[in-house]
Amino acid sequence: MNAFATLLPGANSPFRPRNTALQESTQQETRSMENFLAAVERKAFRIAQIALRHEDDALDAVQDAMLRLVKNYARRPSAEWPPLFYRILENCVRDVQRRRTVRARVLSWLPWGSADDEEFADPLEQAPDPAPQPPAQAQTAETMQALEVALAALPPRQRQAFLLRNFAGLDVASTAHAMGCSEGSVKTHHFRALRTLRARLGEYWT
Amino acid sequence: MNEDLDPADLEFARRTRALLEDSAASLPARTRSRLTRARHAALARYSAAGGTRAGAASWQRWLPAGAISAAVLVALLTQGTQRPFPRAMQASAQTAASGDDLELLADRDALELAQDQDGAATDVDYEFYGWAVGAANDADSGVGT
Repeated sequence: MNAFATLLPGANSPFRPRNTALQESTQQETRSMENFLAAVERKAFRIAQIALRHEDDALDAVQDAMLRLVKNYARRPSAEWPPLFYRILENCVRDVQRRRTVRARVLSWLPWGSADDEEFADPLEQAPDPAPQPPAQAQTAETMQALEVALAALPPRQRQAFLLRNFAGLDVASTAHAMGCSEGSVKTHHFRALRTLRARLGEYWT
Repeated sequence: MNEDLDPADLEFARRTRALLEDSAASLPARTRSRLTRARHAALARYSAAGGTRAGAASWQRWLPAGAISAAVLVALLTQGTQRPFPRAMQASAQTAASGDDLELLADRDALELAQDQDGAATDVDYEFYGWAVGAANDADSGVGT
């Protein structure tokens, strides 16, 4: 019986131990990636939402960024994931914006195009919550809305530098990596964004 | 964070960060659910692909089988290119053998000789040797003269 047991497929296969180790390694990579994505997904969604001003488009951009990161960079060291992920996310946001531009141009030539434009802003989703809010919460929501408007009005590079440095928590080097520019450019964009936001939002912070 | 920023800038940055983090922490349940589904979908695709290393492992696992299949294919192709020549040789050999058989059957003496040769290969023809010895003795003793 033991002699036959050694003839079973894979009983003495030289690939079996390596495969087991590889499967464990892949599972560990998957767990690490899941933990990373779970840690950044909400901030990533807010960054995309501020840039796109649309919840569904922001969710699509985040999902696309997750897929691209997992597909192309899962084997990279986990320390490299944050700048890579936010760089991919910015590219996904730009892709959505480009598709919007193309769709708007095409629809502008169609007689029924103006009717479809309304889907960009669902009135039900844009409507304020009818539930009464405490004064402090209402003030916070108002301040948040003003901050979002001011951030959306920033030049894209300034907004990106501000959100990566001030919200995603990346340092200057990682932000430069994510933005594909020098650290000096990151500092310049961040400083200008900060001064512009202060000038626009001063009344909400007094 | 301290790149040429005055205390007012730092305070403004701190407050905006707190505000943004609060908004991320208080996302609606529907949005959080969709984010979770998006994450699981991305990871499911990675797991379905077996990961990059698992892909390499499957490639290595199938390497011996692939090598054997390639060797068999090469052998078949090589034999296929050489097949017309041996077939012709076999046909000519068969034709020659059948011609020899016909000639042997047509010649009765040759057939008997061949049968004798076949028998001689297995059995000793004692009758022939007995007759030959007797004939020699008769010649020596002058019988028949």
